[in-house]
Amino acid sequence: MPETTGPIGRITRCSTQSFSGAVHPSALSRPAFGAFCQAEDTAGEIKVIGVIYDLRIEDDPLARQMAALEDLPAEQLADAQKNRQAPVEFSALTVGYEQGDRIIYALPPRPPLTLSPVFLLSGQDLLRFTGEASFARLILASPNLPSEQLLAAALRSAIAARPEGDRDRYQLLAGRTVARLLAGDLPRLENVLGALR
Amino acid sequence: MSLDLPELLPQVQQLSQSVQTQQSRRAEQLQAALAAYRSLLELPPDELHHRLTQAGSRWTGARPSHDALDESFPPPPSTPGLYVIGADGSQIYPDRHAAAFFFLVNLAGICLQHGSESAPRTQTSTRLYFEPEQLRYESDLPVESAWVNLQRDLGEMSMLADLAEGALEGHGLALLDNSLLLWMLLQARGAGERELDRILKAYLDAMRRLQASGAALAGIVDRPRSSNVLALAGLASPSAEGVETEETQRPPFPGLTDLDLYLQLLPEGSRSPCFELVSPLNRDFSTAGQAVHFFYLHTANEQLLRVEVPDWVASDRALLDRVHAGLLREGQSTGGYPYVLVRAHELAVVTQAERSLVEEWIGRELSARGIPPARSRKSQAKTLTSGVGRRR
Repeated sequence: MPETTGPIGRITRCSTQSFSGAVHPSALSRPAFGAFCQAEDTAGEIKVIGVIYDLRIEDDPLARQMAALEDLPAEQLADAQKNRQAPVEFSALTVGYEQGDRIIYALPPRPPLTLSPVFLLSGQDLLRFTGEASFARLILASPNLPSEQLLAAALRSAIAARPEGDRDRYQLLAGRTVARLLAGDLPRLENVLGALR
Repeated sequence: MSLDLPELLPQVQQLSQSVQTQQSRRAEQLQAALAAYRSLLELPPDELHHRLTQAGSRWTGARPSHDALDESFPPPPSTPGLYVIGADGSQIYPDRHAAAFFFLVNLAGICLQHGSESAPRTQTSTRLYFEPEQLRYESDLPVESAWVNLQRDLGEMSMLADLAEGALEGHGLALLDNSLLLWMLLQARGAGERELDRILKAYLDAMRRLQASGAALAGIVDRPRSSNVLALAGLASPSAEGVETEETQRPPFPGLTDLDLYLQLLPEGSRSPCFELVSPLNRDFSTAGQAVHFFYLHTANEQLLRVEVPDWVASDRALLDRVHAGLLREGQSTGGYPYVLVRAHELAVVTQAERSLVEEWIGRELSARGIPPARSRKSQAKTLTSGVGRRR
């Protein structure tokens, strides 16, 4: 699924359930909460698909000190934003994988490889993976994550990737899937649908 | 836990009592030092010259330079669009317990222009020293940490000269995160005279290249512990009149530094007069036209820098003002310490994780060639107990 414009970063930490990595300074504006991304597993046979659930800027005392200034010198701002290794870290929840031609909405047998490049999923690849909204199951089953907000953001990404004429149909399909998964938990269902509106 | 706490407790109490006594003694010493400094300002120049001569060749201190001692030096106007470059270095020292004997020097430089929205240019250079002739002196003794420091200091000055020649447009400021004097020449005890001379010559050549580039060169020492001006003030005090040479070798105000003195005297943004450092090592620099002078700069609230400059900067008021104003501008966002040096340090520093990585790579490469990368038995034994509390 290589239909992206270059990797957003590389993996530094991973498990079968999630993976995290550093964002390339040149790609800081691309990853977003709820965006789909992919990386290869250790054997190169599986493409693991994740949804970005967190973007963090690591603690940096120099940046903190500079941020407190009212008049930051122009050359130091340029240095901080263009030169210094911006310690931005992303984390993605695994929501499925692709093996051969098959898409499986379950945890992969192996995690992605350390330092694997991570690409954003877009175009036909994104349409294909989100063709069914079954990835919602793994998002809703994740403890300690803002799962309803994350699911709504992921669905918004999937809706936006579709042609305008197809968006209502997909929204209805996704709504039904979520309603089925949260049939016994109306407050959470309301949260997802509320965040989707 | 192996400390005997009941035995330690009274000693801690004695320690705090001792600190209290020292503090009140320091306050008295400081008043005496200020009085001596005032005497220095009033002393006729020929009398001061006489006492400096009388102090003898072993006396180490500050000699009045091109500035008048009673002159004040408020912040000069800054140069718009000033180019500033900084260099710093870091190292991995040789470890005779490691799998292989080597050392590493990592250098970093940065060049920025005040007010520019372009990102500064950065440069790093990493060099591994591993050939037998790099690891042993001509006397066949293994090199020591001081020799590594010398290579690092020489590398820093050379990188600064390279950057100045390539990047500065006439009126730049070149900052070194170190004293300008190569003190390590006195520490590398195993090195022969020829080897030390080679280093000194290369270092002085780099300083000359900086001079030719038109840059104003300055070495920055944060929290200096020196007391050269106090030594001069000691010579000027009325009690020093006619004292023997032996007597002047002792610090006149023990426990005090120039920092204590100038914290009382310098308003924020101001600098002290420039002094020439009197030391045997500076004589070598002086012979080469690079005598080291220094002044103190109050950059921010109670933050003082010792700024060392070569003679060709100390004798040129425009260059001195460029250093003074440039340093104040550089320290605005970093608590008084120059931004370029904060960044050069960040780029140069070799972290513990990187040290481990280098050792791991070397171990892996040795293994691939069938050489077992064993650390010494002593080193291995230490890892067995590290991180574990001692047991009886």
